[in-house]
Amino acid sequence: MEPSNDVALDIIVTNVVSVFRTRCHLNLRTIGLEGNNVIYKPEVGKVLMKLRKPRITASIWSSGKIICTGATSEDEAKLGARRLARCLQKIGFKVRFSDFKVVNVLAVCSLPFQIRLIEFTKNNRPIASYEPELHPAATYRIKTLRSTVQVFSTGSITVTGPNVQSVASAVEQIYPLLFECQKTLV
Amino acid sequence: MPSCPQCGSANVVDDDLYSQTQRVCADCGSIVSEGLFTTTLNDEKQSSAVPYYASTQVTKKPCPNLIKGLVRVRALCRILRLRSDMESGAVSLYERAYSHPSFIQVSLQKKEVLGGCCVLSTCRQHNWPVAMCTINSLLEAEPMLMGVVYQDLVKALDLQPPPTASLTDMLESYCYGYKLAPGEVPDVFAETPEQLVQRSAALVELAADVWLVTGRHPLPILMACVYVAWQSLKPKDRMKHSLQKFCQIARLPKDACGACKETPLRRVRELRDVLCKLGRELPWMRGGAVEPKTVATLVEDILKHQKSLLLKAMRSYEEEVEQEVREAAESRQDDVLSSTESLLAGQLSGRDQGPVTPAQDVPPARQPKSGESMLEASGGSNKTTEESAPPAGEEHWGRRHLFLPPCARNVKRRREESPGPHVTGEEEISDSEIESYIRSAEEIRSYVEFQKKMTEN
Repeated sequence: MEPSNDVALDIIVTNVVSVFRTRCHLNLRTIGLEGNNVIYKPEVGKVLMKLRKPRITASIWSSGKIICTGATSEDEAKLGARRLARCLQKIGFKVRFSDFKVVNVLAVCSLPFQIRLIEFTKNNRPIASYEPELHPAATYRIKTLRSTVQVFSTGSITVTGPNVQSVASAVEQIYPLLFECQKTLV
Repeated sequence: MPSCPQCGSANVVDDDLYSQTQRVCADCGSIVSEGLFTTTLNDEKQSSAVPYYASTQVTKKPCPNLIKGLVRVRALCRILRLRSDMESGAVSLYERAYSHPSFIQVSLQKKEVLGGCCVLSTCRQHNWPVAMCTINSLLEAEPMLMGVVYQDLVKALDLQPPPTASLTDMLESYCYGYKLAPGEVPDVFAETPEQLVQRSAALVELAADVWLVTGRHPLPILMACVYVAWQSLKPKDRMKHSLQKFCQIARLPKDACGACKETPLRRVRELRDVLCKLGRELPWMRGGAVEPKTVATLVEDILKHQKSLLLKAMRSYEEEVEQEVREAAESRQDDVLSSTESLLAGQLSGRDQGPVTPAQDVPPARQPKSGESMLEASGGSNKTTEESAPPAGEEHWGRRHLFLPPCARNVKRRREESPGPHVTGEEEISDSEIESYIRSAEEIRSYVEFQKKMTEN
């Protein structure tokens, strides 16, 4: 019996990063002047705009490429991106909302047991790597899902992947491996 | 005059192979005439310097930085007293890495660190325990840079990641770095390396069992174990010396443990806490408290009976937790009963009772027993007074364990944000929402004026 059948794990999506294009040149100075909640960074060449609802931060570049971070679901990311595009439209640019894509999803999950990292790395070499002097977690890269799982000894894991589905599959895939390496004192 | 003076043939060709064009006889090879040596700058410019990486010379002379790097790698190997086969392995690895496209054009600083990474990689492949920190301190490099270069090296040359060296392997060579041999320091402080290694190894094993080692830098833990071991070998005379004094006595290099000086102190504290918890279980202590400052006297006995003490401590802790859970459940039940009674009474009398919160009457979970400070106890009681009535099943799993990774003991509760409204991503966006993100004309004007004033000043 797969151990994951008995346990309901809470996978909490903490960040969704998405990109889209406006298909027109954007004047950053105008946005910096006319927008509320904006920070203009001329040294880098971008404008940071923060939306309240959904809570999203967008980096706006003059080429029309925009990166949105901070959403907690893919739908929220899309809504936030559309809201941002409407904002820019109102400011006066000929914006066309196009090429929206979710690029990265970050989720955390807390397992109810500790994990022996050295054992875990030994059992899963070379997919897993663990350098205690560089980072306290063991890294497990799943090439097929293009996801990375970072496993901490306390049982918390963070998963990053290109979409929510791959993140969920990654957790399902790694749970039995971690279950094997859990250890309490005899 | 196209005829060759040597053989008389008319087959004279212009030869452009070298920087000077020459007229050469194709039959006998003698030079008929050659150009003048260059006298103008224009002619000199033909032969410009070719950078090393673009040169197509078949057998390249090694570039000076490569030679310096190889010398450095050899020096590192000699300082670490590596075998000759390991030294040659490190040298050849460095040559391969240096000429790899991802390293040929990096800064000189990175090339220095690359030498150290090659030595580290070779040591790991031969199961020779060396910590990254040690090589860092020898090179005086930044740990982050070392980490980056090491990972790039592994990726670029596709090195198989060898097993991470266990702490006990590193311990022996680490102990030999302490100058505590009988001739070098007064007898009060002297300790043979073998004794020190033996005692420290037992402490390291204990630390690994109680989650003090996983995920952390190895050197501070080693330092803490060696210090506690040294104290415990002659507790009466050595207990009063601090960690700093110990490092002075043993003449340790200043940055033996990396940048942070507090980490070894923290580890010493954690190790002493664990020893106190175990010391409490010793039969002749009869459940009395054990102070961290005096636990050095008991270390020998604790280590002798390590396993049984661990089991005992965990069992007694589990019993305590279960008892408290039972008490809390009973008192909650009583409160629920009494509050429902009062609610019924209130309803009967027709008055509206305020919201009933049985949770507030739950007593703080733990009065620490027998006076010792159990971190879990204080952590746990804080949690229950903060939260409102966690039902028994929802307690953090960490409370059931006596020995935990320290960061799991003080679990930060996630700020529970109210789940946002369910969105589909395709909703209509009203104008009024967008207006709030755009400044009105008046606001723009005042902003521009303000900016002008700021720049004027």
